[in-house]
Amino acid sequence: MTLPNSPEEQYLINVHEHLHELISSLTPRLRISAYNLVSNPGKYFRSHLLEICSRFGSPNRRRIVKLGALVELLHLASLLHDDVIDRAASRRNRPAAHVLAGHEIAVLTGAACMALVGQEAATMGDGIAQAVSATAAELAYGELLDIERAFDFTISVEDYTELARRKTGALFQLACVLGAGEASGARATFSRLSLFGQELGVAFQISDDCLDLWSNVSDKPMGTDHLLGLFGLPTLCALHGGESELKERLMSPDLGINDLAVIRDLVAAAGGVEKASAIARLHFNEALHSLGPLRETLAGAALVAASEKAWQR
Amino acid sequence: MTTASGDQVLVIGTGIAGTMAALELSNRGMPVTLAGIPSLAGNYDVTVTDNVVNMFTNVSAWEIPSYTIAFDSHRAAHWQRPKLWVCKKRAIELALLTNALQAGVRHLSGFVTRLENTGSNAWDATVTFDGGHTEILEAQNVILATGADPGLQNALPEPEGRACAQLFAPAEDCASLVYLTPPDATDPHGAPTSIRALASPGADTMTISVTALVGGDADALMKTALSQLTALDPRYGKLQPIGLLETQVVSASFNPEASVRNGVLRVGAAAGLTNPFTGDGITSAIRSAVLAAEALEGGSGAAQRYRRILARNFVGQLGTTGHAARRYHLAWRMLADTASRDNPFFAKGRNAALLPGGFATLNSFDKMSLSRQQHAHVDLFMLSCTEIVVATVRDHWPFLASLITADQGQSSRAARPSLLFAAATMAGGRRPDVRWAPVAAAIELTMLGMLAFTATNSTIEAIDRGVDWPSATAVLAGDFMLSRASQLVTTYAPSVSSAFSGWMFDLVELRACELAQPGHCAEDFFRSLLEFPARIGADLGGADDDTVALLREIGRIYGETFIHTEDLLALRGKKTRLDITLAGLLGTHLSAIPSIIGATTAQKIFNDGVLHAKALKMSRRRAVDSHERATGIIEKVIPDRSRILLEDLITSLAEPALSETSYLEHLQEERR
Repeated sequence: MTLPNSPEEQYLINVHEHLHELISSLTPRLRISAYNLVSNPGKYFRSHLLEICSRFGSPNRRRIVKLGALVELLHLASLLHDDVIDRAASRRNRPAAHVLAGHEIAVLTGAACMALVGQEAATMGDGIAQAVSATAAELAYGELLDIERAFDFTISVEDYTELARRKTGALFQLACVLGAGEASGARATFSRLSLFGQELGVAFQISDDCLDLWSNVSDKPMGTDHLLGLFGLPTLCALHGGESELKERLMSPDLGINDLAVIRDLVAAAGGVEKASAIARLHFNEALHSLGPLRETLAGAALVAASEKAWQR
Repeated sequence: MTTASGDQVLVIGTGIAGTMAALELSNRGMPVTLAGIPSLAGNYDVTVTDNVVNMFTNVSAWEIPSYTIAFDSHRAAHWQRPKLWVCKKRAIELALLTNALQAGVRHLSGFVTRLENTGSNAWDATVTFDGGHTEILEAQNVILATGADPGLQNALPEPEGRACAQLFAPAEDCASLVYLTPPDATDPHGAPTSIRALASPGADTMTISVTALVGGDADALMKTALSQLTALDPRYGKLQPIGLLETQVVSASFNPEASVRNGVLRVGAAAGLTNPFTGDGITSAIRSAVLAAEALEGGSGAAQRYRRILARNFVGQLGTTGHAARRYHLAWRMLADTASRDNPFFAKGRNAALLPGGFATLNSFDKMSLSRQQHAHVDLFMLSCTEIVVATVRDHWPFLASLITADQGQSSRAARPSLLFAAATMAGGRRPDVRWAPVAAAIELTMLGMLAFTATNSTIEAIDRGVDWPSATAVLAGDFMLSRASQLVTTYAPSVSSAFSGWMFDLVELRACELAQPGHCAEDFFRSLLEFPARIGADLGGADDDTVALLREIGRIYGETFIHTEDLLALRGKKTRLDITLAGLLGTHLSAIPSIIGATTAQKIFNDGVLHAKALKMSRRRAVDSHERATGIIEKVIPDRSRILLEDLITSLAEPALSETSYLEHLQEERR
């Protein structure tokens, strides 16, 4: 006998199914790359947030599923492109799309998904279409900022946070805003959830930077972004502390994959991971704090619980 | 002594920008006083564009046969016959001043020592002459053209750079080149330094000039420049100075808002208009001077008008923010790695950033511009479109914005997709409504975004360190432009946002199809590319269903005409509108030739006379045929404004095919 799914599980299953449905409109040559990611899903944390945020009202369930899939599809599109840009060989422990299908096909698959997002959003209402396209533009700009700063070891915590806000915060924020919009509650609730999503995204981005260095929970080989000249917040914190050996190694043209262990040790020894973790924690607390009185509600408590659970990776 | 002259324009500064502004104003019938003492400097050579040389009959100038921009010892971009000229800077200044005096400009050879704003559009100035006597004059408007040097209320907010130049000899076999020195790998905030070596074929001399945007001591800069050039090519080591080292302050900190301060219009270097990559400032000095005159000619509100005109004509390529150094580094890395890439996105970017005058004089879209006065009613619409495109990307990615301003050229009626859109909006009988200009802008951004995606394939074998700059930049640029395009549509024309995303989807699918099976979908890609502007234009313009259907078909045929004439130009070895060669067209799968003769390479075609002739004949036939079909359908479009514009557009698009027809006919006539 199998236990029936909880409503939360059932929702994510429906999102997964709808995501499949969306992708099935791609022609086979583009579908493969997208399908590889969909069939090996992440945690659907963004759509999960969306669903919880919708509980502040009594939303139309069908729309919540569609919006959840839309947010996940936007995320998927950006992953396809990020992996090309970051030259990531693998994603979720499988070869990345561009490794299998080539750069241009992977890029076109991402663009096709982005176009599907636009089409789907247009059927959901003008306000939603605007919010979604604005977020896509933020993500693209965030990714540009990320590459533009390559090899800049002087990036300040503020600049880095701005980057994380656009690159990751924007999508978390969109998930919360779309959910809150369906709940059609008070303006104040909407604003609180919007801020919550944004701060939570920043917290997770920085926390990812720490994980990327420090454990193999992350789905990328540890610390390879250093080879690209893209330094995460732990490394930047260590550099701000005046770690000159670290700087020399990072700027050296000869830095290779075998040097990454030393880099990790240097960053850790300089307290970079601790500092960055503390900053991540600050943003996490800020996210929870921005919920204010909402925390006392059932939906608010669920939001806190889901965030805490995801935070304890 | 006081001269009262109420509607005067006072131009301060007798360099190229100031004198040009005075000349333009006078030619437009406005009384103008030019104040400043002509400089005796400028005894060195500079590069100028075609249209600058054409202004003078009495300036010695030599055409540059080829133009090279080097990034380091192994990477360089080359242009053959780029329509650039070499001449003495002082010669241009003198010729301009002569022309200005002949045109009736009143010149006061003294310094403006006092300038007071005495009310709305009322200025009071004191000009002090050598020997101390003065003249007080009143003016309605003031143009400041005193360069980037801090002086009379002229301090620019950004730290200034330094440019210096000196004449050397003998030039002998030293080549002309621009050397964009690599950014310092250990200094993420290092700013650009460009070195130019310019041979003057007429005099066997060579001008070396250096532009360093962080400034520095002139002697030291020149010394470093010489040693860097010599390291690149030892022949530069033999050069001996024969002229004085001339130096000036420069700034690349242009932004449209700061181009008017306290009501004073700034032109040229005073507006921070120096190309941060090449140090070129002459082209923009002349252009901004003309634009200032244009803004003043319109009467009141000139300051606001000037800002807007500048905003769509110039892009401060680095911006004034803390991003400047990072932006420069990213652009340098991308340009260096793609210096010889035959891809439309990289080629257009290269032309825009590195050629004096951007792409303007080379712009083939510009050449196709429709000059007939009866199309003037689309001008406002097209200007708003450009303004929106530029404003949409300027702040976040000025490099892309410069690509757009350069590619759109100086004409508001270049045969572009947005012009097709404008023509289609009139098919319902109304004039083009600027309300829809954001949609036209979104269409332009989408096309550029799709071009960027053609450049995403990696060309680098294995890299250990750093980003794959070309591929990464192309992905980023494509994403950036497409997402901004969607944002424009969902904001300003939500009723078509679903159709817009559907179009994007089709384009992507057609590209993927062509990549998988060359020859199958390239034509459809271009059909779809131009069908959308025609369909949506007609739809938004309120045309009935039958007319929308007509326009759809017209758009599709335009797409065919475009790709076949593009092929035709490439097959003839000419410059294409996508700025690439036949190899580039085939390599990026943007050609219909594989549908005629199967998958092939440019080399095979050029080495095989029969194949070449077949491709030429078929491409031309298809282009001519599409032109005929389009003309047949366009006849059915009822509103005159729309129909005539559509006719002129297709004729302009098909011109490469049509002109050859008439040439052949001409030959046949002769035989008879």
